[in-house]
Amino acid sequence: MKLAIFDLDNTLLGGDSDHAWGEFLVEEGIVDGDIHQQTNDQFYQDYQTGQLDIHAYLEFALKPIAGKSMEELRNWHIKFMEQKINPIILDKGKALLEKHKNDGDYLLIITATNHFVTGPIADALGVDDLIATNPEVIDGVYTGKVNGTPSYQEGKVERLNSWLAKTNMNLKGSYFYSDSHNDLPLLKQVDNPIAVDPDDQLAQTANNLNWPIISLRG
Amino acid sequence: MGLREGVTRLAAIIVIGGLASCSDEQTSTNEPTKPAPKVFTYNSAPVLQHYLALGDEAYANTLQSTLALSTAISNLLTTPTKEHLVLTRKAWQLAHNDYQGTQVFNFRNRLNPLGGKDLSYAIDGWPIQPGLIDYVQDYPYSGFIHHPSLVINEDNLRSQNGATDAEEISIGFHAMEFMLWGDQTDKPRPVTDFESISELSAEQKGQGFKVADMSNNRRRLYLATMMQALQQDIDLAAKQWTPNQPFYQQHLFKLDNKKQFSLILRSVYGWVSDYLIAKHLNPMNQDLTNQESVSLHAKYSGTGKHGLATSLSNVLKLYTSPEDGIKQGVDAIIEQLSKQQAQTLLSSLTTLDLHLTAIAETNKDEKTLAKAQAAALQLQNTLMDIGRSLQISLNAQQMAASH
Repeated sequence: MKLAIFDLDNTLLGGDSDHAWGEFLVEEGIVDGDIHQQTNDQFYQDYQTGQLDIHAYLEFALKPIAGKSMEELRNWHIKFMEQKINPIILDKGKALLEKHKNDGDYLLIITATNHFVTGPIADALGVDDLIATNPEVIDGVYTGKVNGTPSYQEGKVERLNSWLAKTNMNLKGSYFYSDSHNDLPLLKQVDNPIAVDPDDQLAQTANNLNWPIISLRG
Repeated sequence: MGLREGVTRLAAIIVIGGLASCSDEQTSTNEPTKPAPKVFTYNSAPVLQHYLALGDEAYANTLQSTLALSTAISNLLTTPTKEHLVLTRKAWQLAHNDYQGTQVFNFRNRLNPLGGKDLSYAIDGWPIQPGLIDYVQDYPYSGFIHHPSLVINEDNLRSQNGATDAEEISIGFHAMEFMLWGDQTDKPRPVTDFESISELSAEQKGQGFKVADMSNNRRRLYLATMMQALQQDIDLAAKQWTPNQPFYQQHLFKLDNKKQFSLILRSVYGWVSDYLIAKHLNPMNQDLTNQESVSLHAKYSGTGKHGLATSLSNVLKLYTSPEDGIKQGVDAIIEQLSKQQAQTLLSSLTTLDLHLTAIAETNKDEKTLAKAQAAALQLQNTLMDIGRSLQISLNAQQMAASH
């Protein structure tokens, strides 16, 4: 069975779920509007330029869910999916997942966005498994800290290696679809790297290395 | 087939680079003769023999130190004193350190020539979620130690390991590390956690508890059971490298020269890419507030840096032929290919050694780490260049570039 690995934000989704979650929190009045929005935007800009301090960002992103009951969080998430995520799920992305599924491939999403935000999105997309940045949970409550390695940049390789060791799967014949130069470490590991609506830096690398470039938009 | 016999029998040569195509070989006698293409031949069998012997030695060392760890745990559980806890922690450090020395002999499941189960997750699975196992700071009743609904036995612990997430670790070195040190570096786990409880209070009796349900007793049982599982897994891993067993020693000598050398080169490349760059020197994994730990790996004991040094020492042994023996290091083949590439590779390894030693001997900081990261990347690039020269693809980027 071959692995078909997908980045999530701006690859299978026509936007960034982490950034959208920040907007949702502001719109719902769960966090202080102006400050949260500005900080959220700044972090997103840092991500796009490859300058993101992932630990600082995660501390910021996980703070609003720390200590909240799972029921409260579940209700927020249902609303979030309806308002922010369902409208940006790309039809061509779903078709691509379907194609790999029909080919008998194992579908895996690997994303830097935390598991709380992305878990229900991965379920909605019907993939087999998800590797995401793991918020720490103790006694059934999010603590606001991160557990283990964030699946960002080289961290995606490390987390995938750990997952491969656990599942006893391998990268022979594997695919990885991504839009971002932040994913170059993992794109270089798989047998079939594919750039999806890539940022400028990834587009340049893909051209240099003859990687396919596709679009799932429109 | 014995090892020596295998070397002799398979001491064939391989031709690399510049081979003429079929049409070239059928050149008409009327056309001018083309200059003979450059032919590079090598015999990988002595290098493979060296690789396998070092792998066997690394696993044998781990096996021995794991047995010592098992004895230390047994002593701790029989007589739970501070001294025994200290000795057990030291035994854990030695065993884990020796296991890091096997990492260049870890084919990683992406290229394991035997297929089969990758034992590294069960042995060295990391990171863990400590709160799923036992108490952590601010959560005194967290984890299955405090919930008797999970019956502690080897089968259950193995089923629990990674049951819902790769970080749901219940066996292996790092779950054990957490049990021996706890999660607070400034306030390590006290030995009283391992004292046996033989009587219940009236309140506990009233709540329906049994003696076996007491957290101390469950902790003791957990430690003994996870040690048993670790011992079995390391036994199995070591066996795969033992001479005259139907595992690597016999299987790899049946491969042709190029496949043999590809496996060795890829295992070194995997060590640099996966073990060093993605895991230990990964900026995502750094906790700069903990000066003793190179990475979050082994963060409770703070001993990651020693394992790195052990690991690199085996890479250096693999690269270099013994001065008075036959040429059987990786350098034997690279030097034949290109003296310049051999020098570059040696220089990359030496630089990396320098920076990893600096990390091990001094307190780390961002600058030291950045230098080590740069040295590891340099080594990775050097290996890729060598792979290209030998037409051995080390990863997707190289395959794409060679098209």
